[in-house]
Amino acid sequence: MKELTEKDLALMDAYLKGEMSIAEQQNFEQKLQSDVEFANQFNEIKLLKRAYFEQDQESIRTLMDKWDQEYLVEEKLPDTNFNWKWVGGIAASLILVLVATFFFLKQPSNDVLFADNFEPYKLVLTNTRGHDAEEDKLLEEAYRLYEQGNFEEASRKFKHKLRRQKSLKVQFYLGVSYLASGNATDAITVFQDCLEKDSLLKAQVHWYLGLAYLKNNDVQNAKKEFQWHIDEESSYKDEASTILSRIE
Amino acid sequence: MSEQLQSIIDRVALGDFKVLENVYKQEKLPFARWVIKKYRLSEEEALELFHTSVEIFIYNIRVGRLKEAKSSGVKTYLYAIAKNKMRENFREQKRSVSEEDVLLEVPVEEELLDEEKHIKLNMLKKALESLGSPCSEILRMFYYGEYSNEEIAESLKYSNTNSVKTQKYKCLKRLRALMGIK
Repeated sequence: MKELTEKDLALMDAYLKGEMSIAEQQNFEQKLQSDVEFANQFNEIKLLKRAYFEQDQESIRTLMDKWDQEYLVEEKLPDTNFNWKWVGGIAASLILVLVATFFFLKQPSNDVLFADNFEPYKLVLTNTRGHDAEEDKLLEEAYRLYEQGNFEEASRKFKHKLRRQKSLKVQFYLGVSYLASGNATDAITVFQDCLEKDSLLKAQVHWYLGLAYLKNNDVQNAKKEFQWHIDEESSYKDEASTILSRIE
Repeated sequence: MSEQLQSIIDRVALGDFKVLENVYKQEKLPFARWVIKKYRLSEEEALELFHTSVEIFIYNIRVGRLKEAKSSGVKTYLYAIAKNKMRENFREQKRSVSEEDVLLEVPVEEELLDEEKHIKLNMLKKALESLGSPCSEILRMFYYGEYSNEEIAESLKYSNTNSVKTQKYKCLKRLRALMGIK
């Protein structure tokens, strides 16, 4: 194997730093084509940039993961005492009420308002950053179903995931999945639970909770939720203002 | 200009990223709340953007684009980076490119490496870990950073650029030896 010479290195450095004339560049590129050893040496030097970059990235990502974990402990987020049996029982009774409401107290204007304003919260990133492959697979599957619009199946997966690992984000997507599949009552329970924590998704939760109330014809509570956006000047305040003006 | 920020920049430039711990923990939640409100990002996107902004901040210091504190704190940079990043995404969507915001971008291309290059890259990273001072600094400044031989001479107190060139050559030979290459 040919040894790297000082002269060759000077050429490579000049090329990398853009200090060559066009003719010199062409000569250099020809040498890369014709001299395999030279090309190999040059590729190694080019790899240095990538190596340093990746080293830095690995270091900072390790630190950020550590800080994120410490941060979560320091934050002391309230625990989710989510009782699914209770939810199931209440949901069953409420579904009856919902059915009764649908047939006897149907208010088409609220349904129209709901349909005009509801769209499932967009799902862009599904990076779980987890360490358990099986858990990640379950969540990925839930997100996939969500994206495909199979909200009933997605809600089953999200629920399954929540039984194993509490997560506000998953809970939020469960709520949206319930709502998207027409189950506003369970959505309300889930969103109310979300609001017990100091969450980064607060505005989103208030928005979907308002829509869930609207879907359930609970106009009084829906108004409260939409008013929250105006009082807090959330990013949903314009939509909230419009919807409030349209609510009967 | 803040002396505290300058001290952070100087330490990050030397590879001491732990100096960012306090600012990271203090700024994470307010930053996430801000981007969620401003850009309607999801929680996960917001945190991802925070991580990316910290990485870009570090990158710009390490390659020598950010040497002097020109703002009041790290927070200002992180918010500026996030705004640029969002504008960049927007531009991508609109398929038009503006010439502004040259600073604060990450140009290291994530080229897909073939098996052989990937093995070499790992060998290189391992060798760099045991390379030590001053070789590690010289090679980093020249090949990763945007420093010229003159700037390296000034920063690492070499008498002239020829000394830097000679030292750089010796360092590369040492690095290749650590990798088991001539």
